[in-house]
This record gives sequence, structure tokens and C-alpha cells, in this order.
Amino acid sequence: MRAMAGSLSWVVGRSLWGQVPLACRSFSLGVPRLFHVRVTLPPRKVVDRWNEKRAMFGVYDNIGILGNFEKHPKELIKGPIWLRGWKGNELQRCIRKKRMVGNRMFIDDLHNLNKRISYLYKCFNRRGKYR
Amino acid sequence: MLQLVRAGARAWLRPKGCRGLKALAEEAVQPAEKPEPVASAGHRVPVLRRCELPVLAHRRPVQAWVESLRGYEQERLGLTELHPDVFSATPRLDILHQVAIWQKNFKRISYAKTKTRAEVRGGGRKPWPQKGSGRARHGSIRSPIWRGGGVAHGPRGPTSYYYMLPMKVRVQGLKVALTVKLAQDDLHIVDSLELPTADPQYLMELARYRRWGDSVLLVDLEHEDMPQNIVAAASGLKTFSLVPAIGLNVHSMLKHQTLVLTLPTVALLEEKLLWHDSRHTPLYPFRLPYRDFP
Repeated sequence: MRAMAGSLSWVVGRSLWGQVPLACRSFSLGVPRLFHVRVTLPPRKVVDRWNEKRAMFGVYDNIGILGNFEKHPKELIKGPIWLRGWKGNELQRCIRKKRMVGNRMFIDDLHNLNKRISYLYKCFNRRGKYR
Repeated sequence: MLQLVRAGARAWLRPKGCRGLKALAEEAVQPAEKPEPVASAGHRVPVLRRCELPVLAHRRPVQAWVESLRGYEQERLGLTELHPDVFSATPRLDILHQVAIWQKNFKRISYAKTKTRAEVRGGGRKPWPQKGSGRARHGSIRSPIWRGGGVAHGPRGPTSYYYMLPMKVRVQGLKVALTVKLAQDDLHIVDSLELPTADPQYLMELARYRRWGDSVLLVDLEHEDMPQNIVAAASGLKTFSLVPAIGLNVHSMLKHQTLVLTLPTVALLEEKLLWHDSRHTPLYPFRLPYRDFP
């Protein structure tokens, strides 16, 4: 035991790690095992490029030009009623939402909307370079 | 010689529009006799449809074969003339790109929304006094630097990305797409979309025999007048789409490898797309009645 301790005593100390055979050296992955990093690829997600929605995308977008202008493509858009066929920045969207559906919103949501409108108004019209 | 020089000088000085109109007038008075197309074996190939709308003098109509879906071998039944301003327009790829991106984005409404520090529940009280506790100073527990706090500059509410390209740009996009399809041999004109059977396999084998490609866009004139066989066959196949003529658009034409039009559809497309070349700017939207436009 004392001979073994003596024979290995010269590898104690980090300066002589190069003399140690490779199988003895400890190594780390570089990342503590608490941050779970995956080393394999996840299974590839299968995307059907020809389902009903993707195959028929864009059909009837030219309904005005090819169909006597009875309908406008903006009438095809499905979404919140205050955003159909209209675009605006955040303050404009908030104001339009309040005008169009404000009377039937929940009280908390309406209160938050009013706070947001007043904050954005002050932000755009009183602060910053462009006012 | 002097007469030739004078004629040349006069032709150069006269503006191009006048020359076109004068040639059109001459053509209207005496319809020029076009030589009958002759096949290589010496038989006459029937021209099944001529171009009704006036063609400018310096251009000739483009010709395409008319096929049939009733049999495998029924390609080349006859010829049809296609208007050059619709089927042989300048190949403006930038307009194609603009129209394709417009189609992708104008319908988009993004529903991403995050709560700001004002909307997150709680956080009205100052967590600890300003001075004395030794900790950093804070005003609320829901500020963006806190865990569980609101997001400072996150997506706000349903956002719409709606915009409209000018009508003439969208029209030109359709013309360019049709031109590109014809020029790359991906356009096939059919007399009508009648099939002998309602079997989807028949349609797939036909497309494979005629080397149409993986995906085919079939366009008929009206939704109600589509034959039952083609409706059943196309509903059984994923990559074969059947749309009425009103549903034609650049995105679908680029997504499907082949485009199959019927003769009435070609007439409708030419009429609708050429009208925009010579219309007045709208004083009020076109959906309201005009005296001379139906």
C-alpha cells in the first residue's frame, strides 16, 4: 500500500497531467448536467404540404378583378371584426377596438385597454424624437 | 429611294400610339386573312378558337394546342389562339414576387399577445421601502426585470398585416404568371373537363402519361357547371386541385406544376385582364354601378 501510494504520488498535482495514461484522466462535457442540453436530434416533424388549407391557399384572392368587383378580397379575411381589411399601429388598433367592440368587452379588459391607450398617447405625442 | 427615306422618317417621327390605332382601324376594316396552319403531314389543323379582342398591330396571337381529357391519346385536337398581351407578356418576375408575397401576407392576422406590467395580475404595491432594506430599489413586483413580471416590448394584441397592391399590378401579376406557365410548357388548354370515369386513378394515370408533373391545377368556368366526374376525381386526389375561374391566382399557379384551362376560361381571363389596359381611373369604386361597365 505504501509502495502504491509512493508510485502514484508523482501524478498528484495538476502540472503532470500530460504523463497520465488517457484512460485515467477525467473529463467533463463542458456543461453542468443541470442545464439539460440534448445531444441527439429530435424526431423530424412531418408537414403535409398538400393538405386542404395549403393546397387551396390564395384561391379567390382575385375575386374582384375576375368577378365583376362584387366582392373585395378584404372581405375574405377572417379575424377580429376591428381588424378585417385594415392595418394600423398599436395605438390606432387600440382606439379602433375601443370604438368598435368597447361596449361589449369585459370590464377588466376595457380598463386595461384604456390604460394602454393613455400610455401610448403620452408615449407617442409627448416623448421621443418624433411627435 | 427618296420616298423610302421619307416614309422611314415619317414613321419614326409619328408617335407609336397613333401607328397602333391606325393599324387597328385598318385591321377592323379588312380582317387580314391569316394562313391556315398546316401540319407536317399536309393535313390542315383546325383553329378551334380565334382571338376576339383586338390585338395590337405589331404582335400576333400566340397559339396553343387544345387537348381533351376523354382519352389518354387525345392530345392535339386543334389549335387555339391566345392574346399576346395576356399569354405573352413581359416576364416580370419582380411583379410575380410582389403579388405572391402580397397574397401570403395581406390575410395574415397574428394573434400573439403578451401582458405588460400593467396587465399582469398584482404588482400595485411597492415591495419594500425605497431606503433602508439594503436591497435594490423596486416599485412593483411585476416590472419586466422581475421573474413573473410583464413583457416590456412584446407582441401586442392581434396585429393585422393587411395592404393592397394597385389593381393593375395584381392584374399584371396574373398575366405574367400565365405567360410563364405557357412559356415553360406547363399550360394545357382543354375543350372541357369531362372525364369518362369518376375514378381518381384515371386522372392520375392521364397526368402521368402526358407528363404533366406531380401537381395539376384544373380551372373550369363556373362552380355549378363542373362535371360530376371531375369533381369526384379531384376530391380524391391531394395534388390535383379544381377551382372555378374566379379562383385563379398567382400563388396557386406557382404551387401547382401544371395549369389546365378550359376554352371558356381562357375567354373569360382574356376579357377580364385586357379590360384594365384601356380603362379610365375609377372615380368611385368599381362595385358601384357605372353607365358603361356592367
